[in-house]
Amino acid sequence: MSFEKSQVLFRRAAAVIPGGIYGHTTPAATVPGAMPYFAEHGHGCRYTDVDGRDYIDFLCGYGPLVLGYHHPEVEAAADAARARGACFNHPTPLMVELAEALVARIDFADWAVFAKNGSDLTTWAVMVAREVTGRSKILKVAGAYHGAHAWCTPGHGGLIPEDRAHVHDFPWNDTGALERLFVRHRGQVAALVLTPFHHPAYADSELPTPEFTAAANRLCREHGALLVLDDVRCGFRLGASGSHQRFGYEPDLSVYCKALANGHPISACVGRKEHQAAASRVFLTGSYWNDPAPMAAALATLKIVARDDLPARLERIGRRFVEGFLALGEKHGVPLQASGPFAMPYVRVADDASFMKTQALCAAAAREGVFLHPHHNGFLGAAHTEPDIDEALARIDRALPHLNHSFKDD
Amino acid sequence: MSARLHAALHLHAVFPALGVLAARDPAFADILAGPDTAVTLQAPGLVPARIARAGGQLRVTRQARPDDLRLLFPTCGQLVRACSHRFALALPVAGWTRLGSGRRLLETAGARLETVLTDRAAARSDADFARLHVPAALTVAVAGAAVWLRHHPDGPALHRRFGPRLATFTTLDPEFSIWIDLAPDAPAWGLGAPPRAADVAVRFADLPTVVAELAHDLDSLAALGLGTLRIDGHLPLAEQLGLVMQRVDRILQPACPRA
Repeated sequence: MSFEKSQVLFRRAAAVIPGGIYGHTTPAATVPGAMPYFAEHGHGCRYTDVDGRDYIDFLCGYGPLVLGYHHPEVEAAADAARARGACFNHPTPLMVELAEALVARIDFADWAVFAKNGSDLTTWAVMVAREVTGRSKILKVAGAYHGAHAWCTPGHGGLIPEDRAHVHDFPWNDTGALERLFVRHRGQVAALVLTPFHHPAYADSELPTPEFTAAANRLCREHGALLVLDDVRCGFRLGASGSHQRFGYEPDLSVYCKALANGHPISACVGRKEHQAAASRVFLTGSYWNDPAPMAAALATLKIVARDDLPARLERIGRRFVEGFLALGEKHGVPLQASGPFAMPYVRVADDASFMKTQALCAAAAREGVFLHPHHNGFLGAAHTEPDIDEALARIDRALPHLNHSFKDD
Repeated sequence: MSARLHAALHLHAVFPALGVLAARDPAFADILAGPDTAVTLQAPGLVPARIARAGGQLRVTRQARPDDLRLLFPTCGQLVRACSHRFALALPVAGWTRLGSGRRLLETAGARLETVLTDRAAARSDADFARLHVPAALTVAVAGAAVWLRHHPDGPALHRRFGPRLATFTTLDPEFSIWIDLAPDAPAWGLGAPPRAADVAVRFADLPTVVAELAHDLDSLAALGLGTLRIDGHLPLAEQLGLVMQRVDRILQPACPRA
């Protein structure tokens, strides 16, 4: 299988861009040489790489494409806003409309602010929590991803010990460890930052236990800390009003991004009335953060998510995919295991601590035109129809015998 | 950084590279032609290192023998000083009649190893030199990681976080393979085929890539995309081990052994 144009383009990229492709889309995080590097165009749940190969996409741009590429209603709304102009001296009425829509949609939300990426607002939310409480400490789960800023980046370069001096990790679902951190840093904890469920890279996803969720709520209240829910990856996929209701969280601040505008660049943070004044004191801006087109796209996306009961649809279509996938593994003697919600499943080869078999699985699937990530949870979108799922499973059915062969070679 | 860690790195990461280099380097011909002799270096609280020339070969092991020249450094700091070309106290506690030949062996072999390990400019510009530099430096890096995990205050916790995993490092030019086994009792390393399946396999396709990596000057994301560096398996493990190797390098550079 040739990725000639991908490789040629990557050689050019490596000459002029550190890493060639950096961040989460780096080929290094997938299976370099066996998966595409550059995309050309997409439609619905499929996209084409620069070598002209088509893929049924189970990563959805690492999450944002919740309705699929080129959703007509979203694009029409964004186009209409774009036709009126970009990056004015002022926000447009769309900003107010979007804030009102989020406040109406999310039960605990009294206000909303906007940026471009999840990192922008998880970091801002931490600052708001510090402004509210006058405290420094941040508690978070080991291995959880909250963005690319110094306090939470999974990277190693450019950091100094002071970046993490007030950030303390504990294991997911470990209520005892969380309680001990609150006690050890009594009166110093500004915020507990959580994702709705644990979706680390290079590990299975884990749902929260009811005890853990209850403890998170209780400990934040008892210790006067804010509960910040990083709903960047899950938001509007697991619940049309955010993910907190599904698991029983009572957040003070929630951050949304990926599914908010179906691929248009915007993120949002919502919060409670009692924290609005403090939030106003934490400086927040970016040159393009008031751009109206993504706000129009967000309004259209939010409307469709609720109108079409998208979370229920993703759960249904995801179940079809995951159960079909696991059955194919059984058929071909490749033991598979799935974790996480059906709308955001992580399927990998069981008993594969090195991930080498899972990498072989994803490379084989790519050869058949199915894009799966070996180390990151997948995403279902509204554009995945039942025939699309069945076609993807048929392609995986063709890929798995080759995989079995490569296992024997091991 | 403690003198104990630094001394352990010299004994069990740098000196083992002597054996690797001696087997490949024509410049060792005269050194290996000398009389059979063995020197054991000891420092308090550390397993000794034994450098033995016998039958035209150089071997580095950890077991002292009764007829060795045994040099005891009264403190780890003294051993580090000796390896850093500074005045140091070493007591010949046994085999003092071999003091002359043992000292000459350490001086000549150590000087050559220092040149091969530290002349990164030559490694970049001279392929033949690089083919010596790579096995020696990769041995120091991998063996050094095992030492660091055992002796650095943060090492045992990081070792536990790694779990009982195994990583291999292979270069195609020159053909060389080394592994580190993060076994629960103590990290171990070795040359050639690993004792069990690797959790991560790091492969360098060409000399410039591995030379740059050993100098911590590689754009590894680009190299992975280009295929000059290939990592199969648990990428975060390779990344973390790379960070440990970088810390080892910072401790050791530029000093190398010369008794």
